[in-house]
Amino acid sequence: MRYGPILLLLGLLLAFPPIASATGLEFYTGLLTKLMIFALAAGSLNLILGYGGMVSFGHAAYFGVGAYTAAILAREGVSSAWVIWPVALALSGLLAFLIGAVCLRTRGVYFIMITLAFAQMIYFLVVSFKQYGGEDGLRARRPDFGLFELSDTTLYYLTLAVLAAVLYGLYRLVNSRFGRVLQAIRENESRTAAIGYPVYRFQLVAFVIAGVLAGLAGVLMAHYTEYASPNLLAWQQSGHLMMMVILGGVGQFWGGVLGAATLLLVEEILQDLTLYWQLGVGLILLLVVLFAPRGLAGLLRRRAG
Amino acid sequence: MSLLVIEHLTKQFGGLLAVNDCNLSVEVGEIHALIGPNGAGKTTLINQISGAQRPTKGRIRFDGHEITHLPQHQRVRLGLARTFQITNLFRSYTVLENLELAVQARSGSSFRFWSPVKREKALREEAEQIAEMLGLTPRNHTPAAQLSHGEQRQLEVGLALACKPKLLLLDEPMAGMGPEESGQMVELIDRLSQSVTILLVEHDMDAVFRLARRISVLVYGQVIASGPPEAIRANPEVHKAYLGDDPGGQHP
Amino acid sequence: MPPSLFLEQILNGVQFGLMLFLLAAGLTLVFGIMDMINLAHGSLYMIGAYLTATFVGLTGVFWLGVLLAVVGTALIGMLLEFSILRQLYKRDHLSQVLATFALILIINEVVRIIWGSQPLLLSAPEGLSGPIEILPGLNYSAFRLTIIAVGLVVAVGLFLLVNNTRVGMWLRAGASNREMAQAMGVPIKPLFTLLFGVGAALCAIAGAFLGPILAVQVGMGESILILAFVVIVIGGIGSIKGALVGALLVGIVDTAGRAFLPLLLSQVASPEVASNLGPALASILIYLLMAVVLFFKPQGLFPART
Repeated sequence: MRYGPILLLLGLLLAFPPIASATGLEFYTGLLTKLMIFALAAGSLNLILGYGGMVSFGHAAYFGVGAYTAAILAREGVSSAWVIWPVALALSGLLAFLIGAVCLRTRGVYFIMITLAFAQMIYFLVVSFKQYGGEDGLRARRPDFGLFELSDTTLYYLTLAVLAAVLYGLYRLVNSRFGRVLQAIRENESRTAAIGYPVYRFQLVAFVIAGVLAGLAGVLMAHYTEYASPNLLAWQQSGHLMMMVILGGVGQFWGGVLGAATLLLVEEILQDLTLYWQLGVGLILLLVVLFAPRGLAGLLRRRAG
Repeated sequence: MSLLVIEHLTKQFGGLLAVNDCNLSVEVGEIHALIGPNGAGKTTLINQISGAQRPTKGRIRFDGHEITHLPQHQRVRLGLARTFQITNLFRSYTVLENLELAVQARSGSSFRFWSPVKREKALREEAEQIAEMLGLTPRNHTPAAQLSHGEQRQLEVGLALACKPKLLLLDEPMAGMGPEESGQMVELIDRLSQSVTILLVEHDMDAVFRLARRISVLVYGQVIASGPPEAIRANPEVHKAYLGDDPGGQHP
Repeated sequence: MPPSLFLEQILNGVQFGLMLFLLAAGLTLVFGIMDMINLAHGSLYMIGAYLTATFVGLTGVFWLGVLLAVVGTALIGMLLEFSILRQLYKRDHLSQVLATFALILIINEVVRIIWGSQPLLLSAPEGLSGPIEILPGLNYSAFRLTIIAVGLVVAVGLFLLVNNTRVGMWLRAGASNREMAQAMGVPIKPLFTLLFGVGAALCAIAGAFLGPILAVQVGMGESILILAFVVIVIGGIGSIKGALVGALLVGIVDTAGRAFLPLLLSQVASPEVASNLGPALASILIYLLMAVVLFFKPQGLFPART
């Protein structure tokens, strides 16, 4: 990995909030926070979809469960983030373990559909609890970190720190022994099994890691909007995350980040321009799938190479 | 001493009996060839020995362990490795990367998430040794997909070999090869047989009769004869079922 | 519980199941034959409903409106296949999911641009709007009965088409083994376009008849699409028979579950728990059904491929 551009980007991101507030552009600090949260969620999906070849169509479940856990705990009077975070991560991990354990016994189209079915189950289960807002969603105050107050600015820095740490961890992971095996399974599952790897176990571990990271993104999302929305759990959200990954580049390390940033920015711009912004998003996505199947990271790499 | 013992093995697909009450044993140190007409159930048998498919009935013992219900990766750990009839490589990986993956599988846990695998010198060195033994060293950094057919078949064997097996299951290693390439493969198998027991499924009768210490004949999922090459060649039943009804004919 | 209520809910389940079957039949053939995931299938259902509402409004005659809408939707379906979907057959499932997801976004917005964001009004034809007495003491909606009749007629027609005609033979051959079908000289490309047209027409019929019961609005295609996928996964991808069984199963389980599960729960649990848990359980019942089916039969109930 080339560190120069990364450090430059990190420096810019670190310096952004004070500059923004000095120039009256606080709005963009919030937007960047949202971008980074989705970059985290899309990055987690890229781990299983891009590196592991597991086309999960239910990734919103873990994202939403992270957000809802944070919101429900806050509603029930838990204010400490030191309780909320571990519980939310553990729950999304447990959920990914249970769902993954069943789904990973199927392959191909069946895997896509059964992950979707489980995510739908979670969605309907959550919206049916009227005391937690049902279809209206659930408001949730930001938690207490003890060390600092969670303002818009500190949330920005917290998100940046989490994203940077997770990306570094993922970078180590995909280049580790585990990461190599995960990619080998994507390349050729039967051979990976034949040279002595327990394929199912590797896939399940990756699935759980991705679930926990998506849950983490969900928690941050709940803090950011001070609200847990059923939309976070909806199947369109799973599609949205997949769009980001494919737009950025499936199995390209920066694919998730690049895709999330590009898609959200495009959406933001189109929303300013027209009421019918989804038409534009749809057209762009269709063109990318038809003409740039390796995503933006693939295009950039081709330019560079 | 028997390394592999198969008893009453049966595999049913719907109404079709692919393997039917099959008995077979492979002795330590031998090259044991398994021959039979197309559709006799040879590959199904290999799949069950290696653990890719579960038998409907019967038992498999390997090296003193009952392995009938063991998952594939545990069988590999006990020393059972296979090749595939249709070349089955990590096509976009280089020769060394292919071999390193196989070496990694048996050297320590792969549930390591942090240290870069590329820095593990030991894996690389062992992969290089295997590539040298296969005669593929000049192609070390070539992606598997760009190798010639013969080279791919050699890497196919190399991947199984990198598992350091006690028993090597070779599923038609000469498939699709010209005479020159076949010759090299025969030489390779001959060399390997000094250190590992081999169960060889093959259609190339020249190769089978040159290499095998014992031969078993599989027809309709059953072993109809088993013995040294001369005995098999002289066996009238085998001729009727498989070799063509012409004793002393085209096969040496 | 009075038996008439029970019977009414079962009839509702059958009625919904038959409409689901119309959606699932096209989907399962496309899925089974072309190995293609088409998320935009639900959009054709939506287009069918909107066209019906429009044509019924223009002509004032319900059945004529339906006919025009079915033809129109079939044409749109074939156009989609010809222009875009055809490019996707050879691509992986991920690309198909994404591209057709994009199509959903595009079609939704186009519909919004043409018809606006407000739900359209589509009412049942006047002669069928009241209830009729089907058994002594049991009144049932005449329109829903009509839907059941239409569903049965179309289902029978489809079975005849698939089992007794040359095109049907090609379709079955394609669903069980595509290479073989190609080798046998089946004219794959026009067949696929035609198949899309038929699938779209079936969608339009479902949209036309469910429109008066559910609402004609943007997004109506998505929720039912997922149900249709559940149906074909339960039934076995590529199998028409599986689609029918799966559709009836899902229709009845879903409808009956929503009607009876809260009642059943209130017998064994406190009213508060029952009123909370009942609807929740009812809404996940069919997904549970699918997970259970896949656990025991990973290829669905009637696998088409061997």
